[in-house]
Amino acid sequence: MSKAAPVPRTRAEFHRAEHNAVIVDGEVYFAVEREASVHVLSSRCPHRGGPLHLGEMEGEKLRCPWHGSMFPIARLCDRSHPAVRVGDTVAVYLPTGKSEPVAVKTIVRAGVTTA
Amino acid sequence: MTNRTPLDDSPSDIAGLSEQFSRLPQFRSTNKQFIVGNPYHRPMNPDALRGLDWGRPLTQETFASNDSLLANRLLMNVYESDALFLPEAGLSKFEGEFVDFYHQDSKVLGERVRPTAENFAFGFLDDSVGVSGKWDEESLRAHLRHAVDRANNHGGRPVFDAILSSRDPRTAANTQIAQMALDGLTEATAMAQNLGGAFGPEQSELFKIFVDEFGYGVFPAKHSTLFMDMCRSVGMSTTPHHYWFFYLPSSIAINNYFYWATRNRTGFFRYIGAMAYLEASFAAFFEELNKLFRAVYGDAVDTRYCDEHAHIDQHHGRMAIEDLLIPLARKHGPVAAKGLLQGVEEIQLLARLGDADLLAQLTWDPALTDQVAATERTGPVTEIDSDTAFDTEVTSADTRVQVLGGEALLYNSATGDPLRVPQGKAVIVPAGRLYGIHADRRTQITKEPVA
Repeated sequence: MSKAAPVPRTRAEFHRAEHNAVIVDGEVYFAVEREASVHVLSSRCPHRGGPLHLGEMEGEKLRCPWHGSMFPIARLCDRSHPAVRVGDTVAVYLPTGKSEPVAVKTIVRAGVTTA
Repeated sequence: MTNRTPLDDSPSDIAGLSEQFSRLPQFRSTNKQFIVGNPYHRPMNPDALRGLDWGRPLTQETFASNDSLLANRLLMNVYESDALFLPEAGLSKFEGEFVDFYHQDSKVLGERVRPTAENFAFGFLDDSVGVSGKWDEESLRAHLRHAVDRANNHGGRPVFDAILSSRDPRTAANTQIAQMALDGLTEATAMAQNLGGAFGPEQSELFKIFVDEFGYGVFPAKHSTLFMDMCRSVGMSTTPHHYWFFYLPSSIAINNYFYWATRNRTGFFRYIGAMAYLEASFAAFFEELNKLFRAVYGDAVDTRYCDEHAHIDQHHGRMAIEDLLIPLARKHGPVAAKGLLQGVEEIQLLARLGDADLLAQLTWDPALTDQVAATERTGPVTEIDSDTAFDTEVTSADTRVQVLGGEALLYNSATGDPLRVPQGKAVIVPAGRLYGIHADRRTQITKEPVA
């Protein structure tokens, strides 16, 4: 388990056929499916905050649409937010915000990858 | 990661091996509906097993199917040949059966079938449940709290309601007890499989729970003894697998799940997750079960088994989470956290599927179904009599059982009277339901899917 100082988290649930992202306080968290798991990633690029959910997959890497930073998808998934999928329902624990999490269907260009 | 050579038994090899296994003497057929006093006699159906397509594993949708029944009966026999059973009446009448059940050849054959059968029975869980992300202790705790709260604030138990509102609540409650007997009469056998080895303080924490299960070495306080006392108080058998034919596929599968998780050491974390979840939700469950049994059986029922769980599982729930699950996750990292969560989720999923199966069985009352006139037959006629091997099966579609001559006795519960279906009549068995047919005299029947 992560030994970092705990981040207060709030549970969010979504149905993967209906939603592919969750928004908390304007922050987008998007779903990437690899094999049987659904990984929920922060969309904010660590470089300049670009929207990773609009990035493209190039092989096993995700390219940020703003400045072209490349991130191995496996590494992003390893650091994804804690989540459990049972059937099509995904429960994820996201950093707590001022607003409640809202599940949405939006454009996610890197949503499904093969490992 | 180490490269492994996959086992080279193909599904067709497994079909042959499983049939061979099921033809061993201890798995022979019987014309009786109950297995009396013999813990080794566990009938299997070689012909049906030969037809099982091991290349098409079970899914959530087929978890309670006839394929599931066949595969899980076989798996249970493989697993339980690793546990010691001795007949209550002593071995003298069963020496041959004792040797057959634990014979090396039988065990080797069972072991060859086991990995394929396990993948067949439980492979779907890897597709149904996925755990991802970087879990910390707080999120793990939050997730467990949510799961246990949901179990304890469930908004009603449809199975209990069905028992209370059935035409014969006693028979319905007996059906519930018969399913529980799978585990109740051998309680904590799966848990015992992980007591050995060396895994630090958590090994001792697991042992504390195990000691409670075993009544601190006092036989009358052992949980399985309390379960036997409960069975006895309501006139039910206390012999393991007396009700062999009336276990629902989902009940056997859930029992097997714990054998599967403990038999395979890499399943340890999965086992602890599933066990911790159950222990944390059992206290409330058994308190309600206690009330149900009182309402059904009155004062005669010995509910100390329920009382014990309603009490001790308040402690076990805390112990299993605080002293086992969380420390294991802290110490062993992502592999442990993933396995633990996998177990927590899988057992909830299996319990939901099991409840649905039991509910459907309880609410199917053949006696309340009008027997219809037999129609023109199109299927093959089977002739049965009192010597014909008895078996139960699960229908894949609504099935019309027609009696062309004689009289058929339709069994669908562990202790209820069979439904008598006379010549010229037919009864519809709904899809997915478990039933068996017996006849006291020569009888001709057909079984056909309802068009």
